Amino acid sequence: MASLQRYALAVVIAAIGFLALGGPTVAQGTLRLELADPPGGLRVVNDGPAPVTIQMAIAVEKHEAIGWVPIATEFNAVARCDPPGSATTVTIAPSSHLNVRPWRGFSCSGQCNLVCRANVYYGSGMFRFVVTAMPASHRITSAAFAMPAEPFR
Amino acid sequence: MITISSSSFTVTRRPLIAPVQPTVSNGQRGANFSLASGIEGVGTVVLNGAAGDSGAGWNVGFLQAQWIETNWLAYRGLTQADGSVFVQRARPPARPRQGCFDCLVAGAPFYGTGANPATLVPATGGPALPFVAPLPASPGFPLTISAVHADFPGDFAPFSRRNGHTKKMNFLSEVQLEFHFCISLVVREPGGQLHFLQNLYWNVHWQNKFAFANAAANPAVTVVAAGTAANVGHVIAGRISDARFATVLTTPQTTNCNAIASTAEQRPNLTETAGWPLFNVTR
Repeated sequence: MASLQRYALAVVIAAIGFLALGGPTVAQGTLRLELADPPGGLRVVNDGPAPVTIQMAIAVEKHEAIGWVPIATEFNAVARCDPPGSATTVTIAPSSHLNVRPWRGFSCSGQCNLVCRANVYYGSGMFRFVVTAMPASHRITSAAFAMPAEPFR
Repeated sequence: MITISSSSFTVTRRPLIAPVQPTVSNGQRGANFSLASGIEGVGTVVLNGAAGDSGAGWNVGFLQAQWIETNWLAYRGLTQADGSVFVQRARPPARPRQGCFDCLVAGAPFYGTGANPATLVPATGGPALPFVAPLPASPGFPLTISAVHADFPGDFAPFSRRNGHTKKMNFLSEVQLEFHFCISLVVREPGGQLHFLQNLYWNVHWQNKFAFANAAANPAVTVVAAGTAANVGHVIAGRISDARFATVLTTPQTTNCNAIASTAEQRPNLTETAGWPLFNVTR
């Protein structure tokens, strides 16, 4: 029952965010996570006057009966599928944002990688992104969002 | 003492080859070889035991081996003088061996992992099922427990690459990919002992030819019908005994097929030549 209440709360928070800001948003400090279309889209917004550094890897969690659980996937704070570099963090300039290339819902081919043998589509359900702000490793979670039952073609 | 009473494995979704699509991956324009529908199956095991038997550490789940990989790409210049390149990703040293343990996270004992408890609703409906299903610590018997398996393998071929011999740009002319897998429904005891219950061979093949009118445009893509298919065999009960890959499933593996394929893609075997010779694709 508790998990159902949490799930309902997440949906309500998502709905309030959507109505208030034109898209579900969760903020911490000067950093704001805004969901974008298509489902799996994410905008990391820095509203503050100073640059903010986040970890390159963005975690994805799925809502299960036991609560939010991290899932194995490929998703990074990149706007394009450029050749992978060695950077482990990315800095977002003051009063700017990063339109993250959308998460596709897969484990191995989550975002840019297409070379996969084991590759699960996590399917319908509620998900959320977790961005880690440096240097204190603050976790910033996005609003919950639904992925379609079938992957985008 | 916990014993296995019966088991079943049902394919709930069959794989279907998708049309090859142009895309961008890791900064390169190229062809995306993917599935319109992945494979999916549900395994169910009935266990018996005595009152007080502990289910702690027992799991029902799936293993998957990949035991065949064909993976070559042929490139040609716009003229014979520009030469050609043969890219072989499925032979040593690019790919040290054919067989590999196929799982989401390298080092995990199952295709899915207990640290990844996400569930999936099967295509046939019903409750969401885990990839790895732990037995309750204090189960009642008989105990029926189910797990799900799913896979969407795919690959990528860049549209162009520079021929190091002629110093000219060459363009993708043909690709053949064949991935053959075997899924095993297993029960794993706390000590790691595996009970192989049901097995399924399946595979996916892509073969396409590409024609570029110029370097900037997307190519015309032709499907080679004889080399394009998705096949699913019959479910076979019992312990896996196929010598071509059984050890991949029965001994702990430190790497996985995703990592092996990724390395082969980054460091393929290259043959760069002048002219447009026919390549021996078996080597």
